[in-house]
Amino acid sequence: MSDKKHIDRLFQEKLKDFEARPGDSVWENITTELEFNKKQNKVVPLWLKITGIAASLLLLFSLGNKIFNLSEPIIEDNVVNTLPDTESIDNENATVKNSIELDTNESENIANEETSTKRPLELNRKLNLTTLGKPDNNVTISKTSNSIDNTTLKMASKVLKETFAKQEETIAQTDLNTDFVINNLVKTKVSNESNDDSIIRELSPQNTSEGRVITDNDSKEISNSKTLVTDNEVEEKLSLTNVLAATNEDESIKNEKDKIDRWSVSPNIAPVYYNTLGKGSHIDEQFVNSTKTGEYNTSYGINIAYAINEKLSVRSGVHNVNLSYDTNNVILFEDLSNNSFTNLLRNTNHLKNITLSDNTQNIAALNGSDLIVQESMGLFPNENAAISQRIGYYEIPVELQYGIVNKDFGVNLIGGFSTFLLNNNEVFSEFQERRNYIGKANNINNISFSANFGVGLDYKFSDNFKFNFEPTFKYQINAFNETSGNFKPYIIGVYTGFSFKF
Amino acid sequence: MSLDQLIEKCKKNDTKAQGELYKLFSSKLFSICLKYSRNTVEAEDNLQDAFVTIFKKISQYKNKGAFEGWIKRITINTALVRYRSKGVFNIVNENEIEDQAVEIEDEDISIDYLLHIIQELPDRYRLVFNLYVLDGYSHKEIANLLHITTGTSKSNLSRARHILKHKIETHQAKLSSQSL
Repeated sequence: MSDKKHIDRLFQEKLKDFEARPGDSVWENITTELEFNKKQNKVVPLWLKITGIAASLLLLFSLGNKIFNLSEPIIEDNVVNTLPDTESIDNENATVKNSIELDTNESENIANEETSTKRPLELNRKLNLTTLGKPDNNVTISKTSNSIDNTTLKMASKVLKETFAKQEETIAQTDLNTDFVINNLVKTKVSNESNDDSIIRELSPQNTSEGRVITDNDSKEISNSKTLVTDNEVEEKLSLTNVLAATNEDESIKNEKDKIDRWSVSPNIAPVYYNTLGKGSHIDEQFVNSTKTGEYNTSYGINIAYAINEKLSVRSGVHNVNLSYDTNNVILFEDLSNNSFTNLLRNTNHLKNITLSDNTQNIAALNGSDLIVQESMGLFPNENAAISQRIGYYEIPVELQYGIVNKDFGVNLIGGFSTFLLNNNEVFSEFQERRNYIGKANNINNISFSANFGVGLDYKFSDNFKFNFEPTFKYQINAFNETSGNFKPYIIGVYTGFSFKF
Repeated sequence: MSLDQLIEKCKKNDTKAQGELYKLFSSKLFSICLKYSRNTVEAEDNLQDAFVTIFKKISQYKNKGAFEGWIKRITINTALVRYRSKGVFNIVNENEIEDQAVEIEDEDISIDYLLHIIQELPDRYRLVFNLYVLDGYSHKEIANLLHITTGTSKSNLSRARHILKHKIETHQAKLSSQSL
């Protein structure tokens, strides 16, 4: 007798070590699925994507162009495209042509005959004529095709088409074309029938001359073949529209895939800090060792970014940047008296890189930290003024942004360069809260550049709306054309703003 | 080759290593699939899906905790995803059935038969029974996994037990009448 036990325990005990072997098909299915995933996950290289897009656009434009100019050019194109369709046909042509070239009279005869008669029966005869005339080539011709086959017929119609397209050209031209026609027809009708009277008749010189006159009827023949041509045309158009539809489909699929919003606009504002890496002065040699203060100012503007892929985007924009930079401890004095001392002072201590405004022409500046100056003037350093330089630029950055983390919270690396266009250039003297305009710097380049490097942090509020925070370092490359000492200006900006994708 | 080495190779999409790993664990995981599925065919489907997930996500396995536990969880989860939305309606389930001791005589009942009656349970009952009784999940955990309340989980479990008990007893009665 068995004991009663809880149903849970029964199942637990019985199924504890239960194992079962699955069917063999399971592993096969797994490998196929993994293989499939692998293929799908293969990353298409960037260059392939770009060239792919470019190629499909090119294709689209060129096809579009053709569709809208759908008339003669298309026919010509088709002929050009389809003529060299199969090598075998060409080869066959060549052999037949050879045979004809060997006897020009004969070939002419054939040509003219063809244009005047239009009857397959007679074509047959002509064929026989060729074979008769050239027993050597007979073998090759009969070898190449013993029956009418579709490709050669098509070939013939294409040649007719060509003839039609070039209808307005010289008769000689059409003559040549008819030669072609015959060549093809000859091919299609090759047979080893025995010769009959008609062949002999055609061989006669009278017929040849008659045929020549008839060459003018070429166009008639051509008009007969018109139906063929239009048939073909319709066919070609159809195939074209198919191709176009297919490309459109491709495009739309691609578009759906690419539905990551590629464009984004981000207005931003930043406190910018302007300072120099080296010891130097952009004003005058005597201030190389003076203390200088970079000041906080603002930059504001708008960026437009284009996402090349999910990680990499290119962006540009326009910013208005205001910068200011103080050279401290400067003694500025103005003396209107024209004695030799002040003149000397003015001449030796003028501010080399500053063009003074009209009403400050008499200003001279001294370095307040210079002990000799301090003693001679009887001044205290803290009473001294500062020269404050204000520079304004329009900045046009071109930067690449690479996403390292692409979640709600994103981290990007930013690198690029900026072009700076000078829009403001002022120099002030600052003394105890008083500020006087004294002139402008004459050593600032109107256009200058900077190398930029930054780290961008962003937070996604929604798929299309982000908050950005981008501390960026910009090293100015040729801001000044003449500085004293080692003056290497840089800008640090903490660009903050929102970006909208669309 | 140690399991760790095998895992490392699988992380590099080494097909041979994947085959080895499959050989090593397929029977164990298939038993889970059989218990959580309605029948063998669906169990095989689940096993397939589970292994595909395992190989795809194996790079996320950071060697913390037992690998077997990790792949078992994936397998169970595959089954849960498949069945939790289907089947049993919520209307009946809020009345908690008093969970009296469901005892049964432990006679010779084959594993196959037990498996069979588990598979016959309505989807949600089967999931809850498996999770609670065979895989040691708490009602709270089950509630989270199946997006139901703990009350529903308890009630489902109770119903599952009763159905199973009834089936086993009928089966036993049949067997004993045959042997008489």
